[in-house]
Amino acid sequence: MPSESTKPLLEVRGVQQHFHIRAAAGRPAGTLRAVDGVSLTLGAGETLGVVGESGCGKSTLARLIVGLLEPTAGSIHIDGGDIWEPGDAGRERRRNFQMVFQNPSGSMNPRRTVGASVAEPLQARGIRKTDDEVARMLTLVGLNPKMAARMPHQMSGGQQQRASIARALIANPKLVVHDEAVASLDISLQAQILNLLVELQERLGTSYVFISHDLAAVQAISHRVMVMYLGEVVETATAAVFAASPRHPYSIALRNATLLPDPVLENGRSGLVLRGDVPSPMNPPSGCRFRTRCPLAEERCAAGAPPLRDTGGGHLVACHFPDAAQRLARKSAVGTPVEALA
Amino acid sequence: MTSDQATDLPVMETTAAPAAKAWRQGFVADLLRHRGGVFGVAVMGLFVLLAIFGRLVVPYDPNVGELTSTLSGPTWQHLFGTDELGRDTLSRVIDGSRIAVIVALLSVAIAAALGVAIGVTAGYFGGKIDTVLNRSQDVLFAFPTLLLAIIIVAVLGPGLFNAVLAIAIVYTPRFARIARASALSVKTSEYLEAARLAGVTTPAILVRHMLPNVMPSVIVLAALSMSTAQLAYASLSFLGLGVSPPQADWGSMLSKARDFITIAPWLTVWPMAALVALMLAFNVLGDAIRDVMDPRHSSGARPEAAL
Amino acid sequence: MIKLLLARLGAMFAVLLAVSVLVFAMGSMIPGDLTSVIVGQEGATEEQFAKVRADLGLDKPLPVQYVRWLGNALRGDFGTSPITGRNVTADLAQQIPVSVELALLCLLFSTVLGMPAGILAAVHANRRLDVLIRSQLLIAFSVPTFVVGILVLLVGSRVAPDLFRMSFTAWSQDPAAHIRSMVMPLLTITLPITAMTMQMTRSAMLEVLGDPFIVTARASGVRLERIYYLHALRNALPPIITFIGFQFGVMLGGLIVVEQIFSLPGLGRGMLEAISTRDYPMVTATTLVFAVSFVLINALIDMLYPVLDPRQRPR
Repeated sequence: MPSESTKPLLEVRGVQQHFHIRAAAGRPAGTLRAVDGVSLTLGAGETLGVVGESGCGKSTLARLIVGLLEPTAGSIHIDGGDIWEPGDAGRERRRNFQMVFQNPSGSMNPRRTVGASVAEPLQARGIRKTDDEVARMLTLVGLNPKMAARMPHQMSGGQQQRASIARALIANPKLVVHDEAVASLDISLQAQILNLLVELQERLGTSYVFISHDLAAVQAISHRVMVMYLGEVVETATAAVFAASPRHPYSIALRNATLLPDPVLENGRSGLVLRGDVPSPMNPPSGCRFRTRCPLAEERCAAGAPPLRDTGGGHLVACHFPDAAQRLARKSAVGTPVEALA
Repeated sequence: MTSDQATDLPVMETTAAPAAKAWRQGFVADLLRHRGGVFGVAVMGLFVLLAIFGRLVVPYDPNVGELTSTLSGPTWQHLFGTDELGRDTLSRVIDGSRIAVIVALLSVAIAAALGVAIGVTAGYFGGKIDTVLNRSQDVLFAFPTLLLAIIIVAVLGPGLFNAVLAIAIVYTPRFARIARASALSVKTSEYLEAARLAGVTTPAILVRHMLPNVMPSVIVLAALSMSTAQLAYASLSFLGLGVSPPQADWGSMLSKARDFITIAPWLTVWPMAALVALMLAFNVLGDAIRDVMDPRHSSGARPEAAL
Repeated sequence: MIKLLLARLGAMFAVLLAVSVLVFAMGSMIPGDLTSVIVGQEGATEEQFAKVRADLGLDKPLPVQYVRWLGNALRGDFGTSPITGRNVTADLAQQIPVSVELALLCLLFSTVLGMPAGILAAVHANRRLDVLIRSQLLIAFSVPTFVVGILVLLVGSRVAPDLFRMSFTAWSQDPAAHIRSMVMPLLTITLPITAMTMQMTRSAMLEVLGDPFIVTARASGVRLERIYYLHALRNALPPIITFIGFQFGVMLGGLIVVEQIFSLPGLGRGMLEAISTRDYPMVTATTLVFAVSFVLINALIDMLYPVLDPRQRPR
C-alpha cells in the first residue's frame, strides 16, 4: 500500500535531456530534445506508470531517474537529496536505484552464471559471501535457487526476467525502474511477472516506475499513470481516474488503441484513432506538440504550448481544451472513427 | 525441502568451476571432432614437441660441424645432408623449429595483448581517446606488412626479440580493431548498464564484463594469424634481420643455402619443406579453431600473407 | 568535383608531412652514435667530438634538426653516409631506377596477365577452368615471396642454367644481358602479385555479373561479349584499381626480398645494407623514399576513384 508520507520519496524537477547531434551526411546538426522538462513525484511503495509511443523519451527518462544519465537541466531528488551532488553524497544516493531491462537475454552477461550476475550489486558494495542472499532472492522471485549455477541461455525468457528482477532487488533499492520489462514476453508470462512485481512491492515496499507502451500493463500495476509525448508530460492522474476519464486527446487515443475486455466500455468510447508517425524529436512542432495529430487542433494550439494544469485532485492535463473528452465524444457521436491527422 | 536446501548450498559454490571446465572440455572435444582439427592438432603437436624437446632428440649438435664432411648429400648418417660448415641439416631443421614456433606464438600473443588493451580502451572510453587511438592504429594498418616490419627492425636493430616485437607491432592494429568492435557492442549492452547501475567500478567492469566477451573473437584472429606471423618472421630472418648465427633458423638457413643451390640443393629443400609444413599446420589448426568458435563466420578473415 | 580533388591533395600533403616526421623520429632513434663512427675509435678528444657533433648539427634540438633535414631532403640532399663515405643521394639515384623498373614491369605483367585471367575465371565461374585456376591461386597466395624466389632459383638452376648464372647487368652496358638478368627476379615478384590480381578481378567481376542490370541487359538481347567487356568490366574497374594501390604496398615488400635474393642493386637492397651497418642517413633516406612513394601512389588512386566511379562524385 502506498504510504502517505508528506515528503515524496522521489522528486523529479523540470528534468531535461538534450543530445547534441553532430552534422553528418544528409543530416544537419541539431538538438535532440529527448526529455524536455518533466517533473514528477513518487512516494514510497508506490508505482508510477509511464506510458507513450516509441520516441517519446520514456527510456531516456528511465535512465535519468536511475542516474545512468546526467540531465542537461533540472534535478532529481531522493529523500530530499540531489542525486547528482558531487562526491560521495551523490554516489550514495544513486545507489538507491535499480533497473529491470526490456530484453531478458541481453540484460545478463552471457558468459557469467546467473548467480554471479544476480550477486553483482552486492559484490559491488564489497559483500563477499553472496550465495545465501542470491538463493533467497531467487526463491523470492519464484526460481529454484539451483538456477544460480546456470548460464543465462540455459533459461527461458520468463526465467531470465525473473532473475533480472532478483538482481534488481537484491541490494534493497528504494526505487526500481522497469523499462519495458514485460514487453518481450508472452501474454501469459506478462501477467505472471506483473503479479510477481506487485507481490514483491507489497513485501519489500519498493517503489516502481513502470515504463511501457502497453497501457493495459501499466494500468494493471500502477497507482498513478503519466502519459508522455515527444519528451513532455501531457497528462498525469491516478490509475482509477485515468481509466475512467482521461482528459488529453492523446491519452484518449492511446486508450482507444487498447482493447478493453468489457464490451460495454469498449463500445462506449469515442472512435478516435491515431494515424501517422510521431514527429522527429529534433524538430518538434511549435506550440502544443500534439497538434499535428490532434483532431481538435486550432490556431491557439500552434501559437502557444498549453501548460500542465491541475484540473482537480492531482489530475494534471496539458491541453487548451479542458473539455477535450466531451468534444471528441461529440465529434464521433455517429460512431464512425474520427481520424487524427498524420 | 529444507534438507534439499541445506545440501544444495555447498554445491553452488563449486558449480562455477565445473561450468568453466565443462566449457573447456567441450571446446577441445569439438576441435578434435573437426576434420582439420585432428590433423592440425597432430602436426602442431609434433612441432611443439620438437620445439621443446628438439635438443634432446637431435642426432648431432646443430651448431657444431664436422669439417671433414661439408656439403655432403643425404646419407644414412646425415638424413638431410650437411651444410657448408659440416653441420647436420636434420638437426638444424629440428632446432630451427624452436625459433619458428616460439616466434609465431609469442608475436601473436603480444599483438593480441596490446591490441586488446588498445581496442578495449578505445571502445569503452570513447571520445578523444578513441579518436587518437584509432588514428594511430589506422596509420600502422595502412602500411604494407613486410615493409613496416623491416622499418621497425631498422629502428630497434636486428635480433630475435626485436623481430618478434616488430611483427607484434605490425599485427596489433588488426587485434585492436576487432577488440574495439567487440568492446563497442558490449558497451551498449544492457548487462553493462546493469553493472554500472549496480555500482561496479570501472576496472571491475573491464575485467569481468569486457574481457570475457571480447576474447572469443580475439582468440579466433590469433589462431588465424599464427601462420602468417611465422612466415613474416621467416621473411625477416631470410633478409638477415632475425636471430643471429650460429643459431639454426629456417629463414637464414635458406638465405645461406642460395650460395650452394647448384651443388647442395638439399640445403634449400628441407628447411623450405619444414616451413611449408608448419605453415599448413598453423593454417589448418587456425581454421579449425575458427570453425569451432564461430560457426557462422564469413570466409576470408585471415590477414594477408606476408610477402 | 575539383574541390574534392583538392581536398584529397591537401590530405595527401598532410600525410606526407606526418610521414616525414615519423621517419625522422625513427632515424634519430637508431642507436649507435654517429659521431663516434666518424671520429674513429681511438683517442678522440672531447673537442673533436664536439666539433664533429656541431658539424653534423647534432647539438641543436631535435625539431631544429628535423627542419634542417627536411629542407635538405626537399632539395634532394641527404648528406654523406658515414659508413660508405659516399653521397647518399648519388647512391639513391643509382638504386631507384633499378627498383622502379622492377616495380613497373611487375605491375605491367601482373595486370596484363592477371586481369584477363581473372575475367576468364569469372566468365567460366565454377566450371573446370575456374576451379583449376582457383586451386593454383590458393597456393600462390599462401607462399611468401622469398620461398617463390628460392623455388625459382632451384628450378632455374636445373632448367635454365644460363639465366641462373646471370648477375645483374645494367641496360646501358648490355641490353640483352640486362633483360636476361631480370627474368628470374621478375618472375619471382610477379607470380604472387598476378595471383592476387587475378583473384581480385575475378571477385569484382563476379559481383558485378550478379547485379540485376546485367540480367536486364541480357534479357534485352545485348550480345554476351559486349555485356562482359563493356558493362561489367567498367563497373568492376573501380575496385580493381583501388586494389592496385593495396598491391603496390605488398609489392614493395616483395621488391626488397627479390633484390636481396638476386643481388639486384636496387633501393630495397640498399635499405637492407644500411640497416645492418647502422647507416643512419641511408636508412632514413631509403625509408623516406619507400614511404613517400607508397603514400603518393595510394593518394593518386584515391583521387582517381571519383573519376572512375560516378557514384563517388559529390552531387
